[in-house]
Amino acid sequence: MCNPNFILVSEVKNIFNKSRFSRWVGFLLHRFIIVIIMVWVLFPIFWVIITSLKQPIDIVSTIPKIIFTPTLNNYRGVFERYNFIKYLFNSVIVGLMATTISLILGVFGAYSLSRFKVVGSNFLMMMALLVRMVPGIVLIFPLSRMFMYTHLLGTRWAIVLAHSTFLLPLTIWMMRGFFEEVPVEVEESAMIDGCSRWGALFRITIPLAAPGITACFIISLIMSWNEFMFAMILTSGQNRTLPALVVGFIEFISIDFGKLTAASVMVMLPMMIFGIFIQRYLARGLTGGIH
Amino acid sequence: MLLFDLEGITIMKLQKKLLIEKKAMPYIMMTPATILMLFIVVAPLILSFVLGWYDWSPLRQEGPSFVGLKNYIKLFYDIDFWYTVKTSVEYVLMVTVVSGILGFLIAMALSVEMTGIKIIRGLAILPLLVSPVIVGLTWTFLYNPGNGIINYILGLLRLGKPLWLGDRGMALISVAIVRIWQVTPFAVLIFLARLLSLPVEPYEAARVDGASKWETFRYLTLPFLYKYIILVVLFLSVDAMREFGTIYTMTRGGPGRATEVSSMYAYNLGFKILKMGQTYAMTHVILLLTVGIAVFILSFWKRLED
Repeated sequence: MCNPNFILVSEVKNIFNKSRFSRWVGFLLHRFIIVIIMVWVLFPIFWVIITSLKQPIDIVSTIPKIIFTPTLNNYRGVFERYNFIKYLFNSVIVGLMATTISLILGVFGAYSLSRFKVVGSNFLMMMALLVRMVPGIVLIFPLSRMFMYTHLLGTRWAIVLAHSTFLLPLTIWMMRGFFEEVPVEVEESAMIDGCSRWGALFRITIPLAAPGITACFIISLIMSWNEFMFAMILTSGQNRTLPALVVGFIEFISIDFGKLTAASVMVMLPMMIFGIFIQRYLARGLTGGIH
Repeated sequence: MLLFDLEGITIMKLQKKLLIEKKAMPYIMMTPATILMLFIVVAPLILSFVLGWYDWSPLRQEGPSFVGLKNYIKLFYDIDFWYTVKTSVEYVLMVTVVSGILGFLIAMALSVEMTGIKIIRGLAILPLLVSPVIVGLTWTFLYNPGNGIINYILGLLRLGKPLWLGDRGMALISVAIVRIWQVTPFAVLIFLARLLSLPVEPYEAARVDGASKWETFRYLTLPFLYKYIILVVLFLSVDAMREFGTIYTMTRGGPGRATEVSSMYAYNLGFKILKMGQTYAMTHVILLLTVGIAVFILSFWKRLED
């Protein structure tokens, strides 16, 4: 005990306490990994936004510039030269129509699937799941042929219906999950108090599932807004939606990266903002409420 | 007495009405969705299965002629087609395996509590919300061998300057990297949701029993995640089979046939070469392949439930 070294040794041990030291290394490593993840995820988005604010000379320079005088000329160019507003309007209209149709039909289908077990329900559920898997390329040829027979080809209805092919199964799958989280007892007690089944649905269940419905609406809107293949093949000239328009930029014009990136930013930013709002429901929706 | 009777009748009527409502309601609710789905999905599929037996091209004068299984037999001997199937499978495997593992690791890294973690989690899912077409354009720009930022940074680090999309050997990997960038957040989102909702009790029990970190992960966390792993693999692979926009904007299947996945080949066959019969036959093989993958993955789900 009188050994003076004793204190020293224990202090040294404390400073180089292995668990504390390794905890620090672990801590720093973890923060470092998070920084790398953020760079990997955000850099491409950041770089597009930066590029859209550059002058043509700064864009083509072989040494990428971080410091430059920003300009909004690219954005002005997109609006003036390519009639951006009209295509924006097209995208919004198509998105709203497709989303509304699949939401109305899908909500009722999903409610029925989550509450009743009848002969047809398995069929509908299997169909929704299977259709979710069908690649668009399989549907595009017969669909465009059918739209040709019915004179829908080239109209807005063609693309609205085409988008419903993937939005409706998605809605059914998502909303079934959200409805299953609403306890049946709440509905039953409403019915005991004199509500009809429909009344209980409209007054109790749908308001309770409202956040889920909102999330579903926004996810559908994002998917319709972002969709490209149907948009390119089924629309022409006047009816084009934004993704089809932007791809047109690289087809007909010798690539003007300024305008291209400016248009890209305008296509992706609104959906990112929407997406962040419904983030909480995104995972639950996409897994269809599996626990 | 009269009043009572009336009440009895009304109650009976009400019960009857409720019974009818209960019986009819599920069907009333399901019918519109089912009808729409029959029109826009089932009918086109049936039409496509019929047209697969015919041979015609918009370029020729005569209409469709019935050829039986000829389209499918031709396709079977088409080397180009099998090559694109191989490309597709490679692409799907790369995307699914890398995104799945990467997504899992990122979700683990983001599942801790720290200041600002909510913002970081929010930012981490951004790529998922960008249109595949925009993603394709963005990365074409980043990959640009002349003045793209990636090669500039690689040049600074003296790591060589690959041609990325222009190189036959690299093109498929380059395209897969882009897809991985876009869909990894999907895996992160779903794994993270599960990791953050794990029950606390089993972990406390494990700590009391003196389980090591690895044991806790292996025997507690992983089993909790099995279902979600299957789900993520299912959606990643099926959606990779659907992929069209990114590859279309980046390479159109080139250089040569390096990035020509099956859906790209079907598109070219149907809209450029205009051999419609074979195109239909081909989309059926793609459908079969996709459903096959889905059934294979879902079989693990079944095994899990038993």
